[in-house]
Amino acid sequence: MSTLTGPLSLVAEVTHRCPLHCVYCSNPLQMQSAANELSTTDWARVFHQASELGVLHLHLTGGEPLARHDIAKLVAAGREANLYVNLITSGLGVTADRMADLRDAGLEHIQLSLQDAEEEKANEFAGARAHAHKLKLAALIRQQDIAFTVNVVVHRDNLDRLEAILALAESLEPQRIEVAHVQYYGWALKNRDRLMPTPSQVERSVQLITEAQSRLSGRIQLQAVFPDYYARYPKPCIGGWGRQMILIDPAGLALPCHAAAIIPGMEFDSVRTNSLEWLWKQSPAFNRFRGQSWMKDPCADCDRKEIDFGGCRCQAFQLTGDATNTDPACSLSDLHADLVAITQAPQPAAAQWVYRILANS
Amino acid sequence: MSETPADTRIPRLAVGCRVRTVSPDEAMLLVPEGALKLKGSASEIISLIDGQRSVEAITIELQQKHATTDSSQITAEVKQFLDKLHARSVLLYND
Repeated sequence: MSTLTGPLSLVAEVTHRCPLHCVYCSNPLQMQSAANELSTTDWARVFHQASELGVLHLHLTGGEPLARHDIAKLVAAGREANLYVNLITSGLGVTADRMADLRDAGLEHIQLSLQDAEEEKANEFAGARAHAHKLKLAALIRQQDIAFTVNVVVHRDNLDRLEAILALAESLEPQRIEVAHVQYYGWALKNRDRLMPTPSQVERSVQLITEAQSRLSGRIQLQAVFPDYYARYPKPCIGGWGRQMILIDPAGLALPCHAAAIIPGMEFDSVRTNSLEWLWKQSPAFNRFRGQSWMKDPCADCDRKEIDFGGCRCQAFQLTGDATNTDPACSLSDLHADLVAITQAPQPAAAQWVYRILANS
Repeated sequence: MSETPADTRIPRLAVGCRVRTVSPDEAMLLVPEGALKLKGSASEIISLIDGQRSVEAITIELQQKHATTDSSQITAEVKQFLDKLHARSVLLYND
């Protein structure tokens, strides 16, 4: 067995509070309330421990991280720990003053999400009147010495406007654009029937993105995440379970990935009572799917088992009821045909959106 | 030796990119969604990118420091490394 190296990135979900209610939010359905959130000093301790473990990048996310009044202090604490600090935000809650505070605290990269090129549709997917504010915010970001990424999640209801979406993102003059097809976890899984793109939409999106990549080359870096339901082999989810990333939820629980809590029998330990080093190296949750001893066929004998690690454990559970099965996104899975059938299913008549709401939990 | 015009362009790291020193001859270039490990000459070259020195100045400084190494090899190494960073949009030039 190879020696365990430290995590490279720390995803800090500093709050689950959010003014948006996006229909494809990756947060768990059971969210942490404000009363359970870690304090500023708790987070600062975690950031220092992360740096000592070898973490390079800190991703401050949520919910909406700006819902925390101490967000500039958290940025500063990350920089003090010598981490590269990225803020993933809807932009709601940003003013010129607050932006300057974040820059002064040492913020290095900001990722702003857009939901669509059309305001009415964007606000519909976000469940909030947010779009116009986001566009104004882009100018504020560009005035600062901070790297800027525009992130857009795409799905059946906005993919026909992908050209307009790319043009809008480009007009905001970021250094990077990320176009991510919806990944079906959390709230997105609840809305899967309505979000799932058609095969021809996916094909066209690949073509448009490839064209845009060559057009923008040298000016804007365009990265794309394609939907794994259409893949031949599964994604090596988060670079493999407990191999690259550690996620801390608002209450301090350490998770190997965003969705890990859905797997039955998983128990998560907290940074309130344990060091990050122990959580990474020793905690049962992080060791649950490390190595290969948990694998069954066809993974166990597959020559790709060190490439994609059998795919995503959470997706394997969600779609097969057993987290040790091969991810059905893999064409070698017995259940791959069922997954392909989902992508080719006739579109249901106007299903209602299920909006992400904290009160549901 | 053929005469090539001096490269007076001044390289600088793009916004949101910075060097994190790991040890005297190893550094990491941290960029928005990743990191590049810089060892040996890469680590030396990057330490000289300060928004003041030109490509030529960086090359000469390294040639002087490594007087026993073939100077054209150092010129090529500097060019190759800077081109690689420029292609990834993490290094820009002030003319």
